[in-house]
Amino acid sequence: MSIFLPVAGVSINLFLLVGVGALVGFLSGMFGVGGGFLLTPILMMIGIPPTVAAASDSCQIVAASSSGAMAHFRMGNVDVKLGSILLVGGLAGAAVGVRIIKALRAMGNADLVITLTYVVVLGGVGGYMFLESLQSLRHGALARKPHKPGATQSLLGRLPMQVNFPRSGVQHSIFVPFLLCAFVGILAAIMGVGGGFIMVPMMVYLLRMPMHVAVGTDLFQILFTCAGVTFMQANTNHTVDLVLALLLAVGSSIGAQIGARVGKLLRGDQLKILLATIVLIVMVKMAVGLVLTPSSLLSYAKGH
Amino acid sequence: MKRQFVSGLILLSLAWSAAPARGQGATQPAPAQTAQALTVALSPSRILLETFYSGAQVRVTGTAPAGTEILVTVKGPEAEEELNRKARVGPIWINRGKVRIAGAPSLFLSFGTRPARELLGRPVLDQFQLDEAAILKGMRVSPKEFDQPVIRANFMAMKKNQNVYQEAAGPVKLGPAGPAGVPYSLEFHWPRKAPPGSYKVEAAACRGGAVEATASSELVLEEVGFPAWMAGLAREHGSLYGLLAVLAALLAGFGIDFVASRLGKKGVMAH
Repeated sequence: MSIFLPVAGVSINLFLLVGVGALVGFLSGMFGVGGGFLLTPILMMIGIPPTVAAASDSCQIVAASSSGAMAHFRMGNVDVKLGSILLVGGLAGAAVGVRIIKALRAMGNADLVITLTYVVVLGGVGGYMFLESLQSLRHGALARKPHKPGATQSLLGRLPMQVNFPRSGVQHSIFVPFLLCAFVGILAAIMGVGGGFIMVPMMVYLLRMPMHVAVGTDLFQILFTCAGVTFMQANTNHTVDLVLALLLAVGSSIGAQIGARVGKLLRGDQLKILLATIVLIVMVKMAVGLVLTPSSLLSYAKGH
Repeated sequence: MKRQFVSGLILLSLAWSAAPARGQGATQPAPAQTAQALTVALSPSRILLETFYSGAQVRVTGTAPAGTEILVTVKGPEAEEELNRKARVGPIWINRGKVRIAGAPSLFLSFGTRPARELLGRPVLDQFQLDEAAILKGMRVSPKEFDQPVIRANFMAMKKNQNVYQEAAGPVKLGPAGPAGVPYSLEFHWPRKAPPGSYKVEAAACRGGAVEATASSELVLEEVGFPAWMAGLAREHGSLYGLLAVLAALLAGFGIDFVASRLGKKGVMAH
């Protein structure tokens, strides 16, 4: 059964779209990532124009993350207080990141910087998370002993405006999550992704949030970020296909519910190593793609 | 002897009566040739892009002057396309600059009794862009420093991968000759990636490497009903459409969460 997508201008099998959405939604609910890194290329592969794929992807993330965030909220995994600070920091960082990209584009180096940032950030975050969670899994309970504050933690603890975040069980200066998220926002804007891949590990390792709360809180902030992006894409580029987004959303919302429940069955360490594996696979695929001679020297502009 | 003389007279009179007819044929078209004009008809001539549109089968029929061969082309309007160009920087391949390509149809399908290059000479093919080689030549690539054969060939390959460029996409079938000429027909599946718009379907009657006659018709691909309304809203009321998109996505997410949580409570969905 096919359906005609009015903005994309193509006819696609309805069940294929719902199925693709469900797969991405599963990952989103389980790991707190938006899934844009996976969905946009899949949509392009099945015949959606690149600009429409990228914009409609943001719209479906709104649905998937709202469904996933609600599921996590009921489980007590959303730190609204910390999430709000992260959101403001992320938006500020994204605004700076967009300006950086504009300047790099003017200099003609934007694509090189974006690509290298992708590989370095994904490789660094994925590699660290993989090794850390592998060590933790190997040593079992010993590795899960209470973390001793190091020099960095002590320094952070001396910063002004310390705020307690009971849901996450941590205390930080308000500047720490704000600046951290601003940095992730800059990276996300440069890389053109939602930032879940970077945000969740940062929350776990630098803010010392429990993995499940990091996932739920990340979905909470992704919801607002992607709502803003969807509105801007629709208003400026007219490339959001609502029919496509809603079909993907139906699939991804269901997938996110299942993902959130499956994630609950796994321990934090297990979730971390799975996420690290996916991050590393994406990084390796990108790195190989950079070195191999492409089959075509031309590609459609995705928009950024 | 007498019988042979009479037969000779009859033959002479027949030859005499036939001579003016040949003479007339040399100065103006014979009535039979005028009747054998090239025609082209489409079924359907409008493809409606409705909500559950899943592609369409198009049939082209017509008649051609006896002794000619048929080449049918379907072309979409030309549009300039901007693409990323990959280049090697050290050991890595990255997007390095934009390439703009114009002068190529957005869609090109060709069908013939034989391949186009066997029916027509190269100058004619190039002049009317009747095959892929002609389209390759006719492209305009800018900036000029990126105008390389590999760029043109990659563009052609992209279009072929999308199935919007298909040379010798199918055979044209010829029927038995009649007073109106030779009937021809072809049938093909309309490419699903072709965007809404107006497409020119042109039939050429070919003889001796030249085009003897052409006839064309228009095939319109048009959004109607809900898709037309939705596309119009997205184009003309971007902010309202954006707001609607966000609200609809939120409703979908919360709605599914509500259903899932109810099912979860009833034990349908494992926690």
